[in-house]
Amino acid sequence: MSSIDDGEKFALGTEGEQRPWQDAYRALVQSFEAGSGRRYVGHSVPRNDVLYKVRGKAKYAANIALPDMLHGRFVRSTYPYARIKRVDVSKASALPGVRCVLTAADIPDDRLKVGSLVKDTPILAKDLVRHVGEPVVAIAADTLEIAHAAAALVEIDYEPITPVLTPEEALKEDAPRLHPNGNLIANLSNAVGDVDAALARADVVLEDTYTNEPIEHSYLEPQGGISFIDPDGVLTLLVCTQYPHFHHKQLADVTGLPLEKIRVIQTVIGGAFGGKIDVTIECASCLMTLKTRRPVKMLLENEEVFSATTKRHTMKIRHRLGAMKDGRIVALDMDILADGGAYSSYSLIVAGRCVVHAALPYDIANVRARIRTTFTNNMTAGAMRSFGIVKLAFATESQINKLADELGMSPIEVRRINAVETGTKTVTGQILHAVGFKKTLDAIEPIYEERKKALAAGPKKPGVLRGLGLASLGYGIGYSGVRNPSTARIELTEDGIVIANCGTPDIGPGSDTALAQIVGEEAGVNIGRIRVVSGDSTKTDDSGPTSASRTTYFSGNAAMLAGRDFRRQFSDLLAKKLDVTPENIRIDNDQVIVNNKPMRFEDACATLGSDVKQIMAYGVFNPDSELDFVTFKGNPYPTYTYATQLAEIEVDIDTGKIEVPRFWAAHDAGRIVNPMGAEGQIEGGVVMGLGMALWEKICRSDGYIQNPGMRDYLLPGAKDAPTEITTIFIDNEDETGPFGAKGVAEASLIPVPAAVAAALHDAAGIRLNAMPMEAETVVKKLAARKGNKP
Amino acid sequence: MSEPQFVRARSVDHAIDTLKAAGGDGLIVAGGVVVSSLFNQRLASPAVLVDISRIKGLRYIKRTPNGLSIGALATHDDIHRSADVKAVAPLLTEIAEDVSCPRLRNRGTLGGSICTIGGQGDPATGLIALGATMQIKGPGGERTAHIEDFYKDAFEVDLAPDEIVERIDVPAPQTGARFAFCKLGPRNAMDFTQITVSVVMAPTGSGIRIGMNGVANAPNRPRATEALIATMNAGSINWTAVGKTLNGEISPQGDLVYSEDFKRHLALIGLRRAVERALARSKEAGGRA
Ligand SMILES: Cc1cc2nc3c(=O)[nH]c(=O)nc-3n(C[C@H](O)[C@H](O)[C@H](O)COP(=O)(O)OP(=O)(O)OC[C@H]3O[C@@H](n4cnc5c(N)ncnc54)[C@H](O)[C@@H]3O)c2cc1C
Repeated sequence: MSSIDDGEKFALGTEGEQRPWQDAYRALVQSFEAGSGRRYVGHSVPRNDVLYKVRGKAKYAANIALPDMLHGRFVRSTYPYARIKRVDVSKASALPGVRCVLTAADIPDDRLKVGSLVKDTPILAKDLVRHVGEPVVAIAADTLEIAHAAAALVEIDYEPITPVLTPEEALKEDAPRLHPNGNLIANLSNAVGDVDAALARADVVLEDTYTNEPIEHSYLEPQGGISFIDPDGVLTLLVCTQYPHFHHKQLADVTGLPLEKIRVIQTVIGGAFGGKIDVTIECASCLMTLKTRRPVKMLLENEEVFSATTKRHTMKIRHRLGAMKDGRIVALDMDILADGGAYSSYSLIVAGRCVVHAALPYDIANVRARIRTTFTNNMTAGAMRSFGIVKLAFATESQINKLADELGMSPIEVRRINAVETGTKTVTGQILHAVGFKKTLDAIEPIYEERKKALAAGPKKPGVLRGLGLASLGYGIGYSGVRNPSTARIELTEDGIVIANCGTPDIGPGSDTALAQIVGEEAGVNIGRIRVVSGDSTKTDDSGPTSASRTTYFSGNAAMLAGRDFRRQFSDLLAKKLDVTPENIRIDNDQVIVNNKPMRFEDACATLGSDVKQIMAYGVFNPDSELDFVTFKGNPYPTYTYATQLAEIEVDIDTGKIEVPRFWAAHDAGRIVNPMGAEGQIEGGVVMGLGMALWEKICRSDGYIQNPGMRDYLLPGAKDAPTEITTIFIDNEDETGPFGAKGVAEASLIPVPAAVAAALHDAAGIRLNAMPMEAETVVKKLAARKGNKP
Repeated sequence: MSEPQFVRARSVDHAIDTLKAAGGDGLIVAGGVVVSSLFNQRLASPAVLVDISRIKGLRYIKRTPNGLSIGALATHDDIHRSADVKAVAPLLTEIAEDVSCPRLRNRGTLGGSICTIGGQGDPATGLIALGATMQIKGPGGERTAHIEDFYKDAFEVDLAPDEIVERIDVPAPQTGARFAFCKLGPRNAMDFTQITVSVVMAPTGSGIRIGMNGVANAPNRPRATEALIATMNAGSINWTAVGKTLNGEISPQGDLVYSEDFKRHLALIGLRRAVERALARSKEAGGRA
């Protein structure tokens, strides 16, 4: 366990085991050592996790085993809504090999409930279960098989209650109260201007309702972790999470241990997308470790992931858009009813983001947006890539495409007329800066025109209709309207390893590499000597979660400041040691230049000897984002990212199947730190968006999820992805970002469904307002259009 | 909770003896593609797991005077790469190429594919259309079964718990026979909701054998539909009439992806496409079948 004492990423093993990987990485990035100008930022530097991942050496939670380790498992509710009359664990406890059986009765009432924003989710259900799959009992046993067998021996008597399964039902006067404060999780609204008057005088008013189905994040690695007590008596949790610091604080509340007796370390993680931000196994696992004083490993099974972890919200969006003949949009009215499921999770954040984003990326004078999110007895809805905005975009962008058709205008021109620009005042009163939205339209326009001609002229495939559709987005970087600072801390070893402790963990996109690029660029050292330690709750301050597309911008800024501080501290220290003035020391291109004489960085470190320990460089980035959630006035985000995307599709008129041979994504993400990484984000996001547009849905019946697994849940595969995804990064720099960067992660998926819907209309003349746009629906709609049945 | 006993069979007879001793509580594992997922889902808990994958002499593809002999352990990839299969029954090459993903094609065996109950049977549709037979061995000796009679119902095949499929014999189609395979599903790979159709048509005219999967409880051969098509002119098949007959011969069940009606609709589309492709093939140069 020396690796943990060393404060390194557990997954990589001990300091000694990590060194070869560091050396191998150094060799890999050698080609970036030479050259002038920016050495790392803006270049496709290979990822610093790539070598051990492709060689199969990355340790995910499932791969970690500790001596004497127990295996944990939950017993889950089999009802969507029921009173618990009796929980009898005597037979389970008596089974040989069972070491701990935990029920709500074992947890003091004031520690029972946890939650990301509102503490309303019991670690283990007490008295009441509110969704199928809610944990009621946790078991730890010598083997997983014994834990399974013990789980089957637990007897729970339920008294079923009629569940509330839609927000409409939840809002009825006589609906059962699912939580003490009623059934509304969020009820937010904002209005600027006079929407009714503007709609009344608009030349065109379009009204429609848009819906979606619940979606599973579909990260390949199910939630898992191992808790244990380290030799110093610190309760340690290795877990795949987006937010170690959250669990750290939560565990202090739940266990009563002081903060310094807890440590949470992120393991190498197999995807998250917002699905690894809430509590799943963390509290139960740690409580069982405290009870047994033994390591406990808990891994969810895929079926549990599908049926008992958070889902994307379903929303019913009633949308009205008013415009003048010249294409100016004068009013937007949006009323959203969302299903938050059994517990609050991130519902409030999703709701707030929806209200703030109502008009984006357009400058509309009269805007009204309301969202109500209710509790139901469905699985809890939580954070998922874009926090609700993909559904808003599906509605608004579809409406704008309809408007373009109605007015006989190009969909690009309509957008251009209404686009936000630098200096535009948003609905919250924020003045936008560094807006590159129009440039994304400019980038797509020639492609759109060229493909339009090509499709019109090109050879027709019998039975196949082809079409083009586009959609745009504007998206705020970071948490909505609250301060969410990031920090970074840089240390140095005697042999020249620069350890950058960054607050937000890499959840797969390569943010550790982007942060190393920024540190290397700013500090002047070779990226091959930088080791990023992110995701250890004891190594950095709480820097918020890796979510909301915020890591490059927030933690990147912190890393840049820490890099600058590092340069200064290093020069000062070396100056003192060599007895020269600090002004005569520079770090450049991995060399230390002392009085104009270059010295190898390693040699400078060796000169400093154990003094290197004095270097404690620090950077904090804490932009002023504030929003009043009643008046909705303020600056909710420090910056925004923009995009326009174009889909080319083919519709098989017999089978209704939609193929997407080509896709273009033009993004304004500020300066791109790592083009290869950013492109990967966009390609992945596009395919994820296509999944939502065409296939993915969690099927539910009476509160039960019917397709809990990859077998029946239709996630697009490699053969379903477009043959060509062309990513275009438009040239734009945001002076508030690290080296001009903004962020890109979530944006990539937001316009996709609306672009596909528009392409479907272009190809086949049918409009679908519900996602996913399934083959069977397409065939029915086509038949209805022809006036006959399929 | 108890783990099954794992027996690595040395020979077909050893496997049969082991299965017999297990008294109905044994399970054969070949490539393990399906068996491992049954275990992961806790849907199988046999007392004995009989691994036949190392039995020598079950993994081969041979030309015979009548056509082809394929050992039960030949993988989808073996079939896909085989020059003999391509020469004698290229329909099987085409089907193998499209089974799932490379990883699965490298492990999954033809025997396992045929014997998977309630699963996807792309190869089975081709074997039905080609009129293949299976060589099955049990404690009482060997027997031959027509593959089209092998599937009894959703979870029932004509195989005793102590019997093993040793090989599949594929008669060579007539010189100049035309063939095609069509697969329709929501995605382009890895779907359990799939409608698959294989057709083999006579070198001229509209004589046809059809194998279908995904439209009934098990792979099937719609004979009345075959008979009807055979009465029609290949160039002007009345698909409305064919659809009516086909509807009487299939019994798809709606699932989470497609309704029953839509599956019926797709079954006819699949058949039509397969026939049209087969007919188009006669115009292509070279190759038999
Ligand atoms: C994700 C996934 C995708 C798939 N996609 C496709 C697809 O696109 N098209 C398609 O056609 N199939 C598909 N399949 C099915 C798969 O290709 C076949 O089922 C596979 O070939 C099984 O072969 P196996 O050797 O691994 O069988 P195993 O898993 O070893 O066995 C399967 C069954 O057959 C029995 N069995 C095996 N060999 C014999 C034998 N010689 N005699 C008697 N019984 C035997 C076993 O007892 C077991 O019940 C897919 C399966 C999965 C899991």
